[in-house]
Amino acid sequence: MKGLILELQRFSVNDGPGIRTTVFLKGCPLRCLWCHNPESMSPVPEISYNAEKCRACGNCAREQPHCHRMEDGRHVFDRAACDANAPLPFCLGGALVRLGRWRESRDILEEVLKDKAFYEASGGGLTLSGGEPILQFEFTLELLRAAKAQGLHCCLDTSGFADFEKYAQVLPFVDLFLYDVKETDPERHRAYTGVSNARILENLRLLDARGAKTILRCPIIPTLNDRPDHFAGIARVANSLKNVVQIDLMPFHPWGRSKAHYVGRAYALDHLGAVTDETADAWVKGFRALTDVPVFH
Amino acid sequence: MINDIERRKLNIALNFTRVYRENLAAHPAIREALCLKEQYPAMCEPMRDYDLFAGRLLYHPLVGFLNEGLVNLSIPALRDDDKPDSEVSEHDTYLRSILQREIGGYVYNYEALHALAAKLPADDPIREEIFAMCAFWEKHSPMTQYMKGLDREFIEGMSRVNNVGPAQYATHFFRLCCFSVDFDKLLQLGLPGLRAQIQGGVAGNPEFRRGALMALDVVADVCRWYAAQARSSAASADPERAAQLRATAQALENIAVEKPKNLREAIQLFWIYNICSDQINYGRTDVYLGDFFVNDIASGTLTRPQAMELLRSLWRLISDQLKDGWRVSINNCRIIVGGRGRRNPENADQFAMAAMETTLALKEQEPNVTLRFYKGQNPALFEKALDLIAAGCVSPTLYNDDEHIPMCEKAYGVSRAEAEQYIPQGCGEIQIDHRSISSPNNIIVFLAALDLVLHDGWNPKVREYRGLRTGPLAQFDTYEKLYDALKRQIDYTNELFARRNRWENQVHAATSAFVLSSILTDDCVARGKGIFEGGARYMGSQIETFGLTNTADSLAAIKKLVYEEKRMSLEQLVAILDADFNGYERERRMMLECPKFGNDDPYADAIYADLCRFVNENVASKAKSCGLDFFLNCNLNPGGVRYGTGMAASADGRKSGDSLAVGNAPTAGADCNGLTALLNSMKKQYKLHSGFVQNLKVSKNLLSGKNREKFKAAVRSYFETGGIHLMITCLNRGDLENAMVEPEKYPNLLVRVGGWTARFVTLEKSVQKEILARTLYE
Repeated sequence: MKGLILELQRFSVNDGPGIRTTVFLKGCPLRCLWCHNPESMSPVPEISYNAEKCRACGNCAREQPHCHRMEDGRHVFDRAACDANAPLPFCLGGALVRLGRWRESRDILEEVLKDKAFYEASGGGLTLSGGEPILQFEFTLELLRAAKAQGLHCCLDTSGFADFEKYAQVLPFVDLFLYDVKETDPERHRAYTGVSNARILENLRLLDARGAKTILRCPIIPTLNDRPDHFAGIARVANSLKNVVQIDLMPFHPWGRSKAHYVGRAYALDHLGAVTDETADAWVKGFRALTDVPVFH
Repeated sequence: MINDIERRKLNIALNFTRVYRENLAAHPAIREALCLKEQYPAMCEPMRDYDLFAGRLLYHPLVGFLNEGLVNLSIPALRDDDKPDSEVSEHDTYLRSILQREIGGYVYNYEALHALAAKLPADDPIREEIFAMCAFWEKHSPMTQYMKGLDREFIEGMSRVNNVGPAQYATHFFRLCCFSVDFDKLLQLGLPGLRAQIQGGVAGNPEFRRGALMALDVVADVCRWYAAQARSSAASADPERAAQLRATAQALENIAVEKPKNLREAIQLFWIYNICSDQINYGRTDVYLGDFFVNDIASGTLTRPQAMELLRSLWRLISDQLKDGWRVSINNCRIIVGGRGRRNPENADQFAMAAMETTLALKEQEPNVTLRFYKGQNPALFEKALDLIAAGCVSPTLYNDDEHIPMCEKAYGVSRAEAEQYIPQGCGEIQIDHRSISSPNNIIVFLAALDLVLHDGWNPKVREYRGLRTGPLAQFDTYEKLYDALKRQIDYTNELFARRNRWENQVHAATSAFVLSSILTDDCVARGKGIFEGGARYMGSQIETFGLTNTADSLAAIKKLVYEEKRMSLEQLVAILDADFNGYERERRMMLECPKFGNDDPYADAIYADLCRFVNENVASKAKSCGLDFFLNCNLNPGGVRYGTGMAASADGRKSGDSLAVGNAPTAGADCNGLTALLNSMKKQYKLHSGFVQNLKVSKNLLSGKNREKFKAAVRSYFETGGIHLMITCLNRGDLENAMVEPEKYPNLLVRVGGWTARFVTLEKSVQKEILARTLYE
């Protein structure tokens, strides 16, 4: 079956062990303020417009006047009127790009398998990420099952926000969960991501009880969740579980900002800069007093 | 007036020429030895304060014997092919008919000699001597003989000048740039042992042996000259330096009469022989110096720090050649370490580690340390190599024995044991160590050949037909017919190259014995013949190829857009290229968006693989017809950047004048599917060649941070599944951009350009841009 794919990234070295191919699926139920892939939020294809690349040739306005027009030599884009599934107008600067392509799971797998030798040499494999892969549950299940049949090591990078039943179904095909613990305070979680963390933490507990190996992925955002109580909360979660093998702190970086703008989204954290290595090192050091689970950034 | 150095060089040139003239009828080996005697030690320079070895030279003889000399570089008629023959002056036509810019053997620098004469007063008698000398060489130099006897079809078909300009797709050199000689034999036997071996010979021509012995006398004389010079400097030096100089003098005096006993003597003999025979490739250094290195330390003759100090001094001699302006701005002195087929692997490994440590300590561009490796080799060597690369050394370049050895067996037609002695030379041209001789003296730019096919052989820039006339576009109603025309164009060119090779070798054989190189090349001494007379065990030739990946990408675009999707006709496509895409931005985008090599894309890679197979098999099939043991393509050099500047737009979306891809790399920036995809594409080359270079630009994070193990796994997996070679440049993001803006802050930023290493800030802007445009893998 087909899934809506944002991107397929080969030689991915930050999404699980070894060399991996990460398949980013489009669509996510969360709206995290710091999202570094805001173009993966919407579950439908979108048009990305990068104003810096626009050469103001006006061709898009000629081809699709219903959604593109030129005003004083500047391009104006009416997103609401734009059909992201229609052919793109010719864009001289390459500023207009379609994000999201419906692709067959077998085609994805074929591409993933091209790097099998690299996975074997490095202990790597396939990572499904997003977006939230569980949002395209049937596709995710099919792809994971087929990948497992090929002997691939599979990671699922997930927000944890879905019915547990779905996790129970993918569990046999997932070797390692990359499981987000974004905020341990329930109210703050809702404020930062738009949803409650109750189901997320419950799913994590249930997965752990079934022996699912997990890396906790914890975005740390200065001024929002770089708090001692949250750090202690993460450690408490990790310490209460049996199968958490690692905690990855993911210090904030602002690269999501321009990508949000390309798809016409506001970015809440416009003022924040990247976390320095020194700060992240200090966080890791602090964590080591709280838990025996290995912590990295 | 002319200065003292010019006068000294001029005197050497006059003496050299006089001796050559007096011995015109002599056997080439004898004439050559007599001429070398005029060149050395006359061209020798004293040791510098920091030298532990002697062996510096006064560079750039006006007339002399070299393997490869760059001369006449500023004569426009030899460089620019930008107008039809009818518009070239008679004088320039004459110069084109006798001169080259890269020559080997008897080198005379027409341009420098005439410039010198122009500085002298009209009534200065030396002026007349210079003109008489020029007139003599214009008649007798091997280069002139070669040029005059060159196949007319070759000249008229493709090559007006010894450069690839806007109107040329192929050219040629008359040089020896890839000698590999047996330094192990030199150090095992020493000068007396070599002498005894030559004296014991019975086969071949006794005159060859006599010349060889005379040439060895020159080497011994040079040792004595330097010894005397060192002793004289010692007299006025401080006690510590005086002791060093006396040690050097003693070593020089010893090696003149006996075989080397220790590391100091071994390196000294190697270096003296090296300068007299004009080598730039130093071969399997770990084999021939390994035992000396280990034994001296074991016996207490040297401490390890003392041994390392000797290596650093040797490295400085090598790297200073470049700094002093010897050859061109980029140099390619290779030191090979590691690999199968070493007689002393444990000792050699120890030397290999020491060699890499020395390179890491000095961070010089030269020498170019090259690591050969195989599954099962001591992993410390590979780890050390990655340390060097991560530290920005650029070398070592990595050669996979498990792929190269089987390829060389087939490509060079040699036994497994001999194939184990493959060594990459200079920019990466492979030889069978001290058994084969071949220079990449044929140049082809595949992309220009395709351009000619798209214009039925017509070159609009020079308004002449060049190459083969392959017929009008209307004939190419299928992709296969177009592709076939390109194959015919290349086949025709390779035929001409084959004939040219035969003639070149005949001229060398008749004029030059390359006697010092012959002594250390199998089987010259046993056969009593110089390399080109039939002395070398394997005689071959190579073609330097350019633009292979651009051509494959162009074919992919044509196949897709013209023949499959029919989005434009072939005539329209050619018109778009002729217009350099002006007014056709949309069509250019279509071409840019077509599949490109370097992305593990089956469509693009299949076209690349097929083209690669054709070009490599085609040239290999011509070897026998030109009397060679092998005839192979190599694909190495940054010349593609230079050559691209004169080249019309191409169907891969490349604009007129933009760089070509370097070596076997994708076009800069066309690879955007990740490192593993790039490595998979690179493996699809057809392995029948004399060296394909794969450049890779990676960030420092990947080599030194937490991802180093993953990067290593990627590289290891690449090599275990068919990867043949990698040349890695490791940079911080932003380094190159910053270096272009503030070059003074980045004097040591080393980069890889094809088979060459270069200091980034010394490169031309066009080359800098090409490197900048390459994908940086993070």
